[in-house]
Order: sequence, then structure tokens, then C-alpha cells
Amino acid sequence: MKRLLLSIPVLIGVSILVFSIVRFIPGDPARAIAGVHASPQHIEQVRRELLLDEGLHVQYYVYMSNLFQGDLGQSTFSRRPVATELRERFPNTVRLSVAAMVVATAVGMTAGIISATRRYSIFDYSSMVGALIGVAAPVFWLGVMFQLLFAVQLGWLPSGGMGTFRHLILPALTLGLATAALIARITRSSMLDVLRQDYITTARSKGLIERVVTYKHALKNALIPVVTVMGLQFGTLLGGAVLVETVFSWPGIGRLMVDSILARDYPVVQGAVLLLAVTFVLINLLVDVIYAFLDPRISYGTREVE
Amino acid sequence: MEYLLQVRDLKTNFYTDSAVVHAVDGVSFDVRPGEVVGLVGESGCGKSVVSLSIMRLIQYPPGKIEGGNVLFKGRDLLKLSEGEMRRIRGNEIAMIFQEPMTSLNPVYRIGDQIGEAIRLHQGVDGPASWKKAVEMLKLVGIPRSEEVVRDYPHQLSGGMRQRAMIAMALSCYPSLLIADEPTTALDVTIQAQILELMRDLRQKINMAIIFITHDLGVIAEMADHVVVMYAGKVVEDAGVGVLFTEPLHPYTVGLIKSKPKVEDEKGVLDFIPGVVPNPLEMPAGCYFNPRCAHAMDICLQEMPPVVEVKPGHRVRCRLFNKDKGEAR
Ligand SMILES: Nc1ncnc2c1ncn2[C@@H]1O[C@H](COP(=O)(O)OP(=O)(O)OP(=O)(O)O)[C@@H](O)[C@H]1O
Ligand SMILES: [Mg+2]
Repeated sequence: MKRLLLSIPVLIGVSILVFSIVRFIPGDPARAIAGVHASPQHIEQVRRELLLDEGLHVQYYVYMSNLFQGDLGQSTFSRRPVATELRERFPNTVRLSVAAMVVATAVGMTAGIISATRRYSIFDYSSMVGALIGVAAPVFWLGVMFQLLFAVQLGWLPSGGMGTFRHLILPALTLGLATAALIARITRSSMLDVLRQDYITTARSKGLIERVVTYKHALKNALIPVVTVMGLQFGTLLGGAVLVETVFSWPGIGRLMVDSILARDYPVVQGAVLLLAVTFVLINLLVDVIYAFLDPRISYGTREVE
Repeated sequence: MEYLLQVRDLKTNFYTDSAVVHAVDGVSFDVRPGEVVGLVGESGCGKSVVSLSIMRLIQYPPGKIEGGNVLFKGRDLLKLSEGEMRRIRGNEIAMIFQEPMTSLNPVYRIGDQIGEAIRLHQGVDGPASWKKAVEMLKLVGIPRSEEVVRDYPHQLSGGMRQRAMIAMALSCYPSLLIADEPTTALDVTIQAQILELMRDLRQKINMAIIFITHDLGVIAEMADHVVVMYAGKVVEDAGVGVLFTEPLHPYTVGLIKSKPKVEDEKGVLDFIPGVVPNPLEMPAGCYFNPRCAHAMDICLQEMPPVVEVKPGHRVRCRLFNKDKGEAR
């Protein structure tokens, strides 16, 4: 609950930021919003609509009240409401990010757990080297490499576009790999730390089999830092989606944003940034809920101090 | 059955990057059914490693049991399969630890953690194990046990947690309990209550206890027989009365003189000069010789053998090795 309240100032901050993007660009905001090729009458109309001649506080008030009515303005490019554009694209980004997160979690946690339980084995070394590469490789480069290898050379998968499940594989892998690498590393170190704890010896001293010790007693404790990282990583993932959607021609919010920036379609850029920010905040709220579920010491968003 | 447990020449090493640490170096002692054996010695002498070795819970890497026998009810635990060993852990031999804060899993309910061993070893189902957990909590004197069973460890005080640990350890009525400094982390009144509880329960279920501590006051109160360890070896063992009235080994004598304030903050004993040798730089001969007021030439060269001076009283010291010279 407390976290829910805390996210309100964050969202207000984001709205102010987005609000300012257009107001403080050099030159005439009305011209920028109306578009480069707009007629003088149209620019004048935009100026009136945005109340650009009024004080900033009045502008912000109107902007916010429009926002609450779901009015994000109009695209200067397609002339369609921004909200409609976003509504069309957003599910695609969600699908891509969720697929990437599933890949990242499955691959990362499995590798991390096995590395921790078979420390110093070949598997441990190779997966940690792999993780290092995964973290270091730029998403953009990785995407192009995947395209070259799996689409161009081997011809196994489509190189871009959206449609079948096969279209999803490469972008999701590209987007998820860095996160997988990070999750693997965090899971490993967190598991190693937990496996050293006294309660693990206690669990073993009861006669439990190692699998129960690892997956029941250790994992649930080890997941607490992993979930934190996953929550934070979702932000990075959304940022990465911009690149991946561009590389793979994936019609999501990121692609929309890049296209709109290129077309100087500011209302859409504003709307997209706002939507991504809100998504990020919501995900962090979700992380807190998962937290409370994993760790009984946490209640109502306050962590008990030892 | 005369002996419940016979530890013979137990050796456990740790293989660190720089060297091999002989943490337990040929330890032998016996435990009779229902007997309380105190295991004492300064910090780092290998008490915890002995107890984990008996349970075969030394993790490799870095640790490994390299030799000896652990005969429990006539069977050598070191030769059992992992599956057979698991049927003994928590069922016939149970353990409790120093830090009740950290030895309970923070993310599971007390009842779940107590019930786990019951379900495992007695083949009962969830609800029945839960009821048994409540009973065990009652047995260890926890008030409102129907509610506490649903609590998480952080909701309990240190003393209550240690009681819960004891409830967990005793849930399958083991014939041997290994208690590794079970009261060290508790304040004095709570400590007295826990000791009282352990004495009481030991009577009730006729269980032997290996009681590890560096507090001789606690040993005097609890133990029937005392094993004194120094740097991975047993230096003396005797019945509790004999040990306190006629200690033989200079180390034991020093320990007893240092009582009651056994150690100051730095872990230095009042009446024994010097500190425990670094396990990587053990002195030649008797490990205790740098700190010993009676050290003879031979003590600097050879590890003394164990001599049985009287039935049930053994000491590893040249002073009592009749055919080897007089003390200086
Ligand atoms: N995991 C480990 N890795 C390396 N060495 C270890 C490890 N565990 C124990 N040792 C070595 O074993 C020796 C004995 O340790 P142990 O924990 O048994 O001492 P202790 O008598 O229980 O001391 P305390 O009273 O502080 O609990 C230590 O000096 C240490 O060098
Ligand atoms: Mg210890």
C-alpha cells in the first residue's frame, strides 16, 4: 500500500518530464507539435489547443486533465489519436518483453542454480563465461548476428516482422539474453550465499535429500535478490525493446517511438515515453507484491531491520 | 549395548587454496546411551567439524573426512550409503546449533520446519505432522503453541527460537543429540532455562547428548563425561567429577583455572599464555608446547601418545607417560 502511494510522485515526475519534452525544445513548440509541414493555420490551432500563450501551470493542468480522459493528443504524422496508436502497438511490446523475460528467467535461473550447486564444474565455468559475454554483448549487435546466422545463413527463422510464433523467437532471444546472463550471475551468487547459511545445514541435518534442500530451502531465499534484479532489469528490457524492435521490424512501442522521433511526431513520442514509464512503475509494484510473498519478514512495503 | 557412539581416529581435512588444514586430526571418544558428553576447547579447535563429521555434513569442497570410524549402534556411519545416512540424520541423530537466529529458515513457518522431519521419517501426512509439531512445541515449553506453529522465525525471540530448534531436533526422538553451543548466543536467564529444558527432555526420552561449548561452567552443570580438544586433537577425557578435581593435561588445568571468565574479548585465556596456533603453522611435536610451562625436549619433537592413567581417564601428555622422564 505504501509503495502504491509512493509511486504517485514518481508518476507525477514522469508526467512533468514528458510535458516538458515538447515545451522546452528549442524553437516554437507549436510548430514542433503540429509537424514540419503544417500550414500556418494549423500551427495557430495547435497553439490555441495547447494554450501555449497561457502560463505553464495552466498548460500543465490542461495537459493532465486531458491525460486523465485518455486524450494524449493527435499524431502529426498519421493524424490519428495517439492513444489509438499506442493501443495498437503496446500488446506487441508486451508480448515481446514477456517472451524475453520468460527466456531470461528460464535460462538464467537454471544456469545459475546448476552453477551454484556444481560449483567449479565445467558447467559452472562455461555458463559463467557465457554470462559474461551475454552481459557484455550489445543488444543491437547480438540482434544483427542472430539475423545473419539463423535467418540469412541457415534460413531457419524469419529475419523480421511479426506473425507466427517463429517470428517471435529471434527477437525474444536477442532481448532476453543479456537479462538471462545477469539473472544467471545473480542467481549463482545468491544461491552460493544461501547455501552457506546455517539453516541449510539444519535442513540437511534433518535428513532431507539434496534436491529438497536446494529447491525448497535454498531457492526461495535466494530468489529475493533475483526478483529485485528482475524488476530493475525490466526497465532495461523495455529500453532494449526499442533496439530489438527496430532490428527485427517488430511493430511495438519501441519501433513506434523510433519512427516518431525520426518523423518529429512529438505527441506520439510523449505518449510512448509516458506509457513505458507507467509500465515500469507498475512492474515495480508487482515486484513488491512478489517480494512480500517470498519473504514473510516484509510486510506493507517495510523491510524489518535486523 | 555398551556404547551408542564410538568415534575412532576421526580425521577431517579442509583443502584451501594455500594448504591442507587438519581440522580434526585423529579424534576418538565414546558416548554411552543416555550419557551427556561435553566437548570443550578454545575457538577453532575443531569441535564443530567433529560434530558435522559425525553427521557426514562436511561439504566437499573444501572439506573431506579422510579417515577413522564413526560407529553408531555398531554400524560405521562413514561406510553407509548417502540414502542410509539420510535415514539416520534427523531421525536417530539430530543437531541443534549456536545461532537460533540463523539456523531456522526465515521463509517457512515454524510448524512446517518442525513437521518436515516428522513427515520424512515417520511417514505421516501434512495435517498429522502439523499436530505433532504443536505437541513438540508444548513439550519444549512454548506457550500458545497452536499460534506459534504458524509463526515465522522472525516473530519469535531468541530463546523461543532455540526452543523451536530443540522441538525440531527432538521431533523424531533421536537417541543422540548433538548440541553445538546451543546456549552461547542467549542471555544468561534464557541460557539457564534452555539447559534446564535439555536436562529434562534428555530424561524423558532417554537420549544421549554431545554437548559442545567452551563454557566450562555449563559443562560442569550438564555433562557426565568431558572430552577436551586442542588444535584438532583430544588432549584429555575423563568423567566430569574427575576432570574438575584432578585435571592432568596442562591445557585442561589452565582452562579450569580460567573459569569462570573463560575468555576475554580477544579469546585469550587468563591462565594460558599465548594463543591457539595457526592451523597452517602447527608447531613440531606436541601442538601445545609453545604455551606449556612444563614442555620438555621431547615435547618439541614428538607428538605424545594417549595414555590411560586410570580407567576412563585418558591424557595426551608426556608428564604422565611413566617411562618417559620427569617434568622439569
Ligand atoms: N569451511 C572451512 N574451510 C576451511 N577451513 C575450515 C572450514 N571449516 C572449518 N575449518 C577449519 O577447521 C578448524 C576448526 O573449526 P571449527 O569450526 O570446528 O572450530 P570450533 O572448535 O567449532 O570453534 P568455535 O568454538 O569457534 O565454534 C578451524 O580452525 C578452521 O581452520
Ligand atoms: Mg564451532
